[in-house]
Amino acid sequence: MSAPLIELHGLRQRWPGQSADCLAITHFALQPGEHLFLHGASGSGKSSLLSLLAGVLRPTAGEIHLLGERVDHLPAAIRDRLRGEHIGYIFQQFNLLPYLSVIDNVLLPCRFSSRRKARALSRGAASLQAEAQRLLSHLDLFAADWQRPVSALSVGQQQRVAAARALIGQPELLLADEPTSALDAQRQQDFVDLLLHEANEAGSSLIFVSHDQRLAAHFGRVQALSEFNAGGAA
Amino acid sequence: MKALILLRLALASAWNRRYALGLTLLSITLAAALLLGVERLRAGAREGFSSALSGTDLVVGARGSHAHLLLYSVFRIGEPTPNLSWAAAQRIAAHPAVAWTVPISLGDAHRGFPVVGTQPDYFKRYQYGDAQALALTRGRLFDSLFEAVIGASVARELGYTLDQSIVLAHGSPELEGAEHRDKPFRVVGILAPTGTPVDRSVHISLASMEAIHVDWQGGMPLAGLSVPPELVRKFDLTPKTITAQLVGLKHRSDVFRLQRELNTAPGEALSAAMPGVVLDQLWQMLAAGERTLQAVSALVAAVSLAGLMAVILAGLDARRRELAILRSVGARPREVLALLIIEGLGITLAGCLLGLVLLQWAVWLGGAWLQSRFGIVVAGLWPGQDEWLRLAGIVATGLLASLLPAWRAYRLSLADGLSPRL
Repeated sequence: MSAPLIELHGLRQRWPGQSADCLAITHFALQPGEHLFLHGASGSGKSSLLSLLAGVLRPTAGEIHLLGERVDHLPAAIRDRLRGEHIGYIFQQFNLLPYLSVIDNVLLPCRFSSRRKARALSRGAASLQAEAQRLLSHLDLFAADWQRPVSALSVGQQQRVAAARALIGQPELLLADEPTSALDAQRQQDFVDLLLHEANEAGSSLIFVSHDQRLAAHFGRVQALSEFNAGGAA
Repeated sequence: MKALILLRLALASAWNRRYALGLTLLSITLAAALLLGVERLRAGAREGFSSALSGTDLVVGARGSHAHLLLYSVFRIGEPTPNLSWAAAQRIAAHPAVAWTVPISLGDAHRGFPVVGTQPDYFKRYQYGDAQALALTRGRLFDSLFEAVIGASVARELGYTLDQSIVLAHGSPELEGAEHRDKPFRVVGILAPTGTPVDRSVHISLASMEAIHVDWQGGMPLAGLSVPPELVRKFDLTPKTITAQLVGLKHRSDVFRLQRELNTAPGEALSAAMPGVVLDQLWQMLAAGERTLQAVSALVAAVSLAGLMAVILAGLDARRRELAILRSVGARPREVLALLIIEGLGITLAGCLLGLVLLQWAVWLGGAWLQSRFGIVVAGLWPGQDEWLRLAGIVATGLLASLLPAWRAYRLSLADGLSPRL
């Protein structure tokens, strides 16, 4: 097996003013192309873990390796650049900037990372717009929806635009923080299936955080955070 | 490249919040216009005051305070000054350095407006502002007894037109029952507005002034003696005294020499004042009012900049998600910071520009009115160096006011991670 995409060693995270670690992970690894369904009670540190993996937070102690390189001690500016280049992020809700068009929302990562931009163009698309449109069609969003203000889209459509934004430029890692919690049950499964399909196509690894284990069926790996996290309330 | 993207994002984001930001823009616009406007009014008022009388090198009266002499003879304010003998006035007129003289005789009034006894030369020699001369809007100058030329405010406020018959009264303010009813005057000319005390004056000839007083003594009509207007011409109507004399020199460089000569001349005690210098000194005494104006406009500017800060800070919580989304796609905290500074700076700059435009428009619209009504000459359309400095001050303060929200946004984006705690 090749080197893991992500590897954590002796990671501890404690919020200022708190007496206990919310995260204490001896070891965790995610392989390239691996799809992890991560579940756990709310407040168990899932969002903190994602912020650490995205390089927005710096751990209290321990090491984070991304693509075989240690990143936790890098300056903030470099971690910001690495995030833009290698990571696609999907929020729980309110994912889109209301003042940008659907296409411009999808293209945001390409504005901040030239690597994402280059990779978006490398799949044979004529332009960034064309690549964004290709991704949107794959996620069942069609031309009529591209022109509408994002606030006029349904929540389900907004989440698919967010998925297209996370997927553009084939980042190595997708992080999804309860992306289906605002969708109804039928659309939740549809969304997960579309996301998995596109992640496969882009060759991206996926960490999908949710408290709803019914969605875990199509994931190659399913884990509770408490299985490898000794910190937190549990 | 990156800067352009940030600029576009900042613009799109601001447009999304255009109503709240529009109000801020409006208040900064008004603050800038007010700050500059007050400064222009102040400069204009000073200019108008200092140049209520220009082109005159010296004002000569009886010995006394120069400020008092100027206030009374030019602005017709304050207690009357002692008179100057006609003989002395004639001597000054004959002085080799003197090009022209115009006598002024005060003391009467018409319904609160001072009466000025003078000579027709007055209308040629009296200048105000930037060497502007008096002009008639209607009628002609007086050329015989009992004719009056009235200033623009007199005509407007009393509703007078040509051929109006008016009765002058003795004393300024008028004394009860001391009207020259037997010798009414006829309005033969109305002057154009100047914004100077001329607007509030009734001008008659020195001879007319003398004529209405032939049967008076010591400020009272002589008992049992009344000279009808038809007969008054038989009297010698040369004045015995006048209030002051305006003096123009052949060479302006002689002004200090002549002033010293007159102020120290033996015989009748005289005072010779340089109008520009004395008016400037008088204005200095009014400096407290001027500083109050400046303080008020600075306060207005401060309040609207505080408003800018409040709007950005209040909007910040609502924008934490927006900032988290930008962070998630690779934006750095300092790029988030830049977004907020671009917004604050942009709004302040736009506000200053709009304020300037608003002010120019107001000056263009109301400048002539201000000058004729209040004697305030609002200076040229292009802002002077002082105004640029003030604008720069507003922009700098606006930048500072947007730094606090930007710093807070920076802290929040560090503390929140990618899940804003709302």
